[in-house]
Amino acid sequence: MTEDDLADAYRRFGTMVLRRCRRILRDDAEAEDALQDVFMKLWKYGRAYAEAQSKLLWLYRVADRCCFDRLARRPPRADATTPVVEAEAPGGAQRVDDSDLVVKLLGGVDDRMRQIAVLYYIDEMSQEEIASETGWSRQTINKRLGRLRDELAAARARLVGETP
Amino acid sequence: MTEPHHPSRLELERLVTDDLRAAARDTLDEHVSSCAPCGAYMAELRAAHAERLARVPPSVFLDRHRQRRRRWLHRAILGWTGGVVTAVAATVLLFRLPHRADQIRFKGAGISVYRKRGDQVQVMTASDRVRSGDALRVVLTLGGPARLWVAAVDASGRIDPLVPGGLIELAAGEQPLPESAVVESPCVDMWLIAWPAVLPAEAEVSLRRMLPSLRGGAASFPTSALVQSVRCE
Repeated sequence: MTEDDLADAYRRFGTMVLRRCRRILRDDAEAEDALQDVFMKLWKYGRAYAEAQSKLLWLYRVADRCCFDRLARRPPRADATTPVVEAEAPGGAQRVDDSDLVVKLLGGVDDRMRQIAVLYYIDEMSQEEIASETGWSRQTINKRLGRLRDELAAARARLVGETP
Repeated sequence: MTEPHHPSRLELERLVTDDLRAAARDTLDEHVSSCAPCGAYMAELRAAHAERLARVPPSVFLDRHRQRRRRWLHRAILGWTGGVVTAVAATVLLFRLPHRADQIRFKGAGISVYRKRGDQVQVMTASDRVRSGDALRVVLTLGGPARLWVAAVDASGRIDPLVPGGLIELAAGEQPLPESAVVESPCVDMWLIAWPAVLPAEAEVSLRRMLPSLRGGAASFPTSALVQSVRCE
């Protein structure tokens, strides 16, 4: 991958990838580092990117992994340091609220659950779209989302001191 | 009145980065042009995009990327160099240190001694004793083919090869030595030794050096040797 290709990718997708990293990491400086991580992967695996049908989705999948790796390495802390204020996607208020909690929960779930959670809560895909994207059955996705919702409810209750 | 179906955040982000196929893009464009919330979200994305490129233009971002790449390459080269040095060191150690085959002891290897007294033949256990006239048949169990020096060493310091010349090549598995040894009179406690890939002269010199400790009962044979003690009644 040439420097021109990298510059083009940054010019076209850099902002969106950075926003996604900020949404997951809740830390501006770390999100900038994660963006650099993503572009290192792009530099190394440029051919896969070139062959990807959707460049943005490819970069998002890489960004997700980079961010979750960073979250896994991050020492425990009270909460996110820098509040990230972003415009909400239309009609996505509840999911956006949930996505805050989802990000907190994702450290403790397996890869498949994490991928479904990201697609549903962060990408706001429908279950049909997730099934099409992952190749997993609707039943699997529904079951896992149900479990995740239970965990979200419990987490929300812990935060506000209620019984779920 | 039903809530209008809005495209997902991802779809709008793909739209703003021109990452959609023409048909999907046209459909979304049509929706966005008539939907105030989606239009506002698209405007916000475009503003963020413009602000980002103004604040961190591609040239600046690529400078940081180059620095990161240099650091990564530096670490990678260090890692490769370390790996090569380790591999070379391991190879040298592998071929230099354990090269002496007398250091190698086969896994599962051992010596069994069959005692024939009159018409009775039995495998000797630790509590069994021999006496003059007993015939001893030595069976070696080997994990792999080996060239061995095999001998009986008694407490007086006498060394008797168990095969002509002392050396024998054996295949893996249970291998009886071709000849039996007869316990002479008077009977003297002894050790039966099978020592891989050692020259007879070298083995005899080593064993003679060990004699004082053998006599004192504090026998300490080379770890690579298979040893079975045989005690007299």
